[in-house]
Amino acid sequence: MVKVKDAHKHFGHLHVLKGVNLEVARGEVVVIIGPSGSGKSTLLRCLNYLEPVQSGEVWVDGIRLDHHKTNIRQIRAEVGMVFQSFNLFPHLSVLRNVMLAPVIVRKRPEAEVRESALALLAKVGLQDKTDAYPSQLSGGQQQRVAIARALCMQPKLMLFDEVTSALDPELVREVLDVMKQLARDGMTMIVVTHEMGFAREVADRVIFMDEGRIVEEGTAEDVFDRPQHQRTKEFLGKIL
Amino acid sequence: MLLDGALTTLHISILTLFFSFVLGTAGALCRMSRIRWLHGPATWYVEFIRNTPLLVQLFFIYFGLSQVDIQVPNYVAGLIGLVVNNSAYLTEIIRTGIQAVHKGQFEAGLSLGLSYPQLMRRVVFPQAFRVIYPPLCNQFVGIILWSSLVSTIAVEDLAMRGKQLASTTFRSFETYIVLTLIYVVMTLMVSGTLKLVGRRLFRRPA
Amino acid sequence: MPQYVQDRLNFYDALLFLQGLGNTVLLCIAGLGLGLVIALFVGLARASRLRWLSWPAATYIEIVRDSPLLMQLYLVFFALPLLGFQVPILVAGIATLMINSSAFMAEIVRAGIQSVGKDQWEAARSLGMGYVQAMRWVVLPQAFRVMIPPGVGLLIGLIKDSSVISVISYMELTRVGQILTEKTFLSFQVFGIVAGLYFLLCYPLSRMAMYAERRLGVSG
Repeated sequence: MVKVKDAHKHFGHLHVLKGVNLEVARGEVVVIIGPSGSGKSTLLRCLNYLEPVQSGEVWVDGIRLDHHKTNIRQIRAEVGMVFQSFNLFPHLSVLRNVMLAPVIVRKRPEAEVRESALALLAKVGLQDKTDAYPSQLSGGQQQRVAIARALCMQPKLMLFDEVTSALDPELVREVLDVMKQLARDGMTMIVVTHEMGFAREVADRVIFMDEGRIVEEGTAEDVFDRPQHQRTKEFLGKIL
Repeated sequence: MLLDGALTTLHISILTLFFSFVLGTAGALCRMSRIRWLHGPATWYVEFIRNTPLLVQLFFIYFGLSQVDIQVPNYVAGLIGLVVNNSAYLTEIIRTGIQAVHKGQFEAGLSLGLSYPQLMRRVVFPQAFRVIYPPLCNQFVGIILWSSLVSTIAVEDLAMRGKQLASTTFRSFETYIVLTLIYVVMTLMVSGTLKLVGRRLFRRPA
Repeated sequence: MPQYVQDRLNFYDALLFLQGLGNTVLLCIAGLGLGLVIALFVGLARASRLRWLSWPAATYIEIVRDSPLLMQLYLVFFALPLLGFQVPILVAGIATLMINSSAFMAEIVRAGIQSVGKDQWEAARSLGMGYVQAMRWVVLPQAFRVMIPPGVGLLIGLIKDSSVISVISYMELTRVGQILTEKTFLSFQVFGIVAGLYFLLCYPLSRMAMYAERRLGVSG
C-alpha cells in the first residue's frame, strides 16, 4: 500500500529525514513513536504530498508521488489525514464539513453524500451535532468530526498526526475509541502518537524514529518490552 | 442639482469598489504566488501606486489617453484612475485577509483533495472575508471622499456640482460648507450601514 | 499669434520640476509641523476622560476625517478672504494641510496615549507626579514610540495629499506637471517624472515605517 524508499528531506539546512525506508501493507496499522523533531510528522506529511521529498521514492497505492504525471489530488482523495489542530472549517456546519469534499472533489450526488455523512457521524457518536458549528463543540468532538470528514472520502489509507496531543486528557479516550474501531474494521492506518496503550491494543507494527531515521521496528511487545537500541530504551524510559 | 452630483459620486464609488475588488483579488493572488513574473510586477505595481498621489495618477491617465489619441469620456478616465489606484490598496487588504487564515485550513482542504480554486472559494475566502470586511469598508469611505478629485478632470460629480453652484451664486463659503456637510453625512450613513451589515453577516453561533 | 509648442523637455523644465519638488516639501513640512502641534492638544483632549474635552475633539476629528481634502481646501481658500485679509495661496495650502493632518494625527496621538498601560499611570501618580508631569515624563515618551510608524504613514499620505493644493494654482510639483503638460503636450513623460519624484520622496519613508514597525514590534 505504502512504500517509502530511502527518503531524504531538508527544511533549509535542517536535514529532517535521513534515508527513511518504510513499507505498509493494506489493512496494516502502523504506529510511529519518537521524540519531537524526529521527523515522524514530516514523514506522514510526505505521504499525501503536503511535503515533497528531496530524494528517494514515495509510493502510495502503487503510484509514485513525485512523478510529474501523477495527479496529486487523486492521491489525496484516497489518503485521509487527521491533524493535531483538527482544522475543521469554521464557517460550515459539522454536516457540511463532512459533506463538502465528496461533493466537490469526487462529484458524488449530494443526497448520497448526505446519507453517508450522517452514517459516519453516527458512527463517531455525533449524530445529534450535525447542524452545530465547530466552535460549539469540544476538542474531542471536533476531532471526531475531523475523522468522519476524512472517512467520508472513502480513503484507502488514513494518516493520523498526533491527533490527541492537543486534547484535554478526558477527551482523548473518545477519539482513541473511534480509531480503535476503525482499525478493527480493517482500515490501513499510519498513526503518529504518544499513546502507548493504543499502540499495544491495535498496532500491527510499532516504529521508533529518532533524528530523521527509523531506529527500531517490530510488534508492540517487541518495541516496548524488548527494545534493542539504546535510544529506544532512553526514549521509552522517559515516557513510560 | 446637488442631488444629481451626489448620485454620480455614489455611482462612481460603487463601480470603483467593484472593479477594484476584482483586480485586488487578482493582485493579492499574484503577490502571494511564487511565480516570479506574477509576484514581481504585482509588488512593483502596488508600491508605485501607494507611493504616488491619486491626482497625479488621474492626470497621467486623463492626459495620457488624449496624448495617444484615445478618446474616452471624462468619467471613464476618472473611473480607470480610481480603479487603478484602489486596486493597489485592495490588493494589500485582501492579501492580509487571506494570510490571516490559519495554515491548517489550507492543509485540511488540500488533504481532502480539493483543488486550489475550490480551496480558495469554499474554505479560504469565506474566512478571509471576515478579516477583509472592516478595512474594506474603510477603503470604500475613502473612495467616496477621494472621488471628489475627478471634478478636476471635469466629471460632474458632487464636488463639481458644488463648484458650479458656488460660482453661480457667488456665495462660495456657504456652498462649500453645505457640500462638506453633505459629504460628512454621506460618509457617516454609508459607514454606519456597512457596520450594521457587517454585524449581521458575521453573526455566527458562538 | 503663433503658439510656441515645445516638443521636448529642456533644462529649464528640469529646474521647474525641482522648484515644484521644493514647494511640495515646504508645504508638507509646514503643514505637518503645525498640524502636529494642534494634533497633540486635540489628541490629548480626545483621550481625556472629561466629556467636555473629548466630545468636541471627537467631533472635530470626525468631521475632518469624513470630508474630502478638496472640500477643505475650497473652504479655507474662500474663508480666509472673508476674514478680511488676502493671504497668499501658500498660506491657504499650508492651513488646509495643517487642519487635515491634525485630525488624523490626533487619532494617532490618542491611540498612542491609550496604549500606555494603566500601571504606568499608577506608578507615576504614586510617586507624587501630577497629571501634566506624568504625561510629560512617563506616558508621552512611551506613547511616542508607538506613534512613529503610523506617524510616518501620515507623512507619506500628506506628501501625496499635497498634490491637491495644485487646484488653487500653487506651484507645487503637480501644478508644475500640469503647466509643463500644457506647454509640451508630453503628458506621459511629464507626469511620469512627477510620479517618479513623488515616489522618490515617499518610498524611502515607506521602508522606514516598515523598519520602525518591525523594530518597535519586537521591543514594545
